[in-house]
Amino acid sequence: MNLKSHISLCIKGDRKAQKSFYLQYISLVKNIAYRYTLDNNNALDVLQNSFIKIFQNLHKYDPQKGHIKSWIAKITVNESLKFIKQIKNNIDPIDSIENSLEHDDFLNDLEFKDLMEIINKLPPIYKTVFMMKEVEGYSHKEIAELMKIQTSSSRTILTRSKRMLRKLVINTYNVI
Amino acid sequence: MKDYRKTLKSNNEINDIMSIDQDLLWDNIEKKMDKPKKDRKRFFIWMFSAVLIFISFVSFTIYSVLQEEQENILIANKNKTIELTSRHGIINTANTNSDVYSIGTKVAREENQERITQEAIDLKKRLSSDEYLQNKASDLEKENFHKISYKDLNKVAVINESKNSEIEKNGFSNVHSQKANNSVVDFSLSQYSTDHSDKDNQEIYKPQNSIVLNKVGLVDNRMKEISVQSLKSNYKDLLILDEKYVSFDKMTFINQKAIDFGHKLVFNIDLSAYNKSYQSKTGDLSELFNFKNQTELGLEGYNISLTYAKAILHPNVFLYTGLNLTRLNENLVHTWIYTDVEADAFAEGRTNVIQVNASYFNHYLFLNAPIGIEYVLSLNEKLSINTKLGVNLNLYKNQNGEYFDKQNSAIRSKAVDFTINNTSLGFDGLHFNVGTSYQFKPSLFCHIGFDYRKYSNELVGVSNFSESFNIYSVGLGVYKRF
Repeated sequence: MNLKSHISLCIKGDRKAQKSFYLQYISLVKNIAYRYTLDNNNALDVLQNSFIKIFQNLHKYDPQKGHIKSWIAKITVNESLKFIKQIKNNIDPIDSIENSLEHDDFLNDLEFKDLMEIINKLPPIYKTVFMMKEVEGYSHKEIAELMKIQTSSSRTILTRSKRMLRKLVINTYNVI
Repeated sequence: MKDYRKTLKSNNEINDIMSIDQDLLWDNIEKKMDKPKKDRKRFFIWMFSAVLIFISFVSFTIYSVLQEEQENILIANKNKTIELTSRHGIINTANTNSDVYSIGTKVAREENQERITQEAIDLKKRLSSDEYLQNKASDLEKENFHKISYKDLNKVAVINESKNSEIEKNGFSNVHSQKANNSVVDFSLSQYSTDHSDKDNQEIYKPQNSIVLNKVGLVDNRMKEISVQSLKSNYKDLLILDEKYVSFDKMTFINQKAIDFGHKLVFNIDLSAYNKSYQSKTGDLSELFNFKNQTELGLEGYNISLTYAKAILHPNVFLYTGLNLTRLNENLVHTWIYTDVEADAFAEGRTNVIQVNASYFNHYLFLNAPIGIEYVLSLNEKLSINTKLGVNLNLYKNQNGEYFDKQNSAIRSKAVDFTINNTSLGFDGLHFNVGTSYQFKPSLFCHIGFDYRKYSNELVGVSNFSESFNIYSVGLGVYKRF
């Protein structure tokens, strides 16, 4: 069976087809959810909500606009951001445009677990912008649209997040 | 140089940190998703139509039963007989309310011969004081029965003691006077309560064609011929002669039950199971349908019919026709395996083997007019066995569903790839039914039976083949005779 038939069955509500679809893409959704929430329980909630959203909107998927995985990833990111906003409604207002050129080579030597631990110490909005820009590869414009902030704010947040990370690494690992 | 971005994108690291129970999580997701909506629209349309037909039939039946009950009230006193006054030996119209009955002469001859003879003897003994009646009784003893059919056209039926008395019109039929010397006088006979001794408390009955004939005695040679006609009952009921009578020359019985009760309107609902077979016209069907992988979970359906039957040639033989709607469901499951290679930035290019169990459905609809012969075997007054044999005249067919196309490895719509060729008016299979009927009201019956039908579809399209259905049903029905 090709992907088109599989999706067709899922749209019709065939539970078995839906489950196999879920098993096929759970890793993708899980990884994105975790990278945004950096917490197991929160990631599970995002994962669950994402799949519900995916199945509810599967009929809207247009293969000509991109691969199914890109489409799934986009939904998962949106659900992650929604979740983050729900737990932390406050978004720090960024009024001034700061220099966003901030080097981040100091993070290269860290292991995955250490990286996660350091990034998790950032404020939620900072963590989200950092992950979306540096890991997921979104542009500032896209981040601004998704998070309902100014593009300039996105740049500023990213710069500030890198500064914070530098300080955290220095303080945690006594790196100079 | 190591890049922290690649490190963060590592799925293996996340998998190590975040372990989940996939099945438990799926259960939670499934609960929160909407239940798949079935296409109930068509089902409701058909069910509504069937319910509408059923309600119409029940309404008609109830109305008829109420009418009949009203009539039944009128015949509640059917067993009361006319009381003859032996002195005058005539029927007093003040005590009668009557209609005309005619029953076959043959029946009268065969079934009354002994009785009439015996009653004549009894009468003679009982009325020995009346010389005239004695003579009449003697005559009956001597004569052969066939002579009793002799008709004396010159006699006049005297049915009113007083020639000048005013005819009571309330609920009583008129007295017919002689029309001519050679004419036969018709008169009405009563079959229900004739006790009008209490005139202040008389119940007025509308003259009806009744069920049981009360005995009527002819007075003397003034009346030679009585015709008794039953429109609603078994002729045997009219032969109850349990009271004394004087004499008669000829009693003609005409059984009209076979004619006037020779109509039936039947409503039936069956639950069905069926099997299906294929016959290919071009090529090997297994290549197309991949039968081996299909698991048929259920082959079931239902049948609704409304038929009209009319007695022909014999009271127990009916010719029937009507409308029949058959709906068959087919639930199929197909399991197949395919591979999917991940090929985007998030994945690592691994190959996933996916097994899918897909459920899909087929629905078949047949609307036809059955035509055939029904035989009714009466076991007793209430129970009978009905057997039907006929053919189905196709009016409309439809199929809606999918099938698994092995060649293209996909589930495809049957309606797109195949069309039913034999949907026009024409012969479509046999029909057989056997069952038991029980009369729970006058002319109202319930029926339980076993039904067999055979249909076939000629399909053309991607491949040409025929589908044959053998449908076995058990059902309940009600019908009214009128």
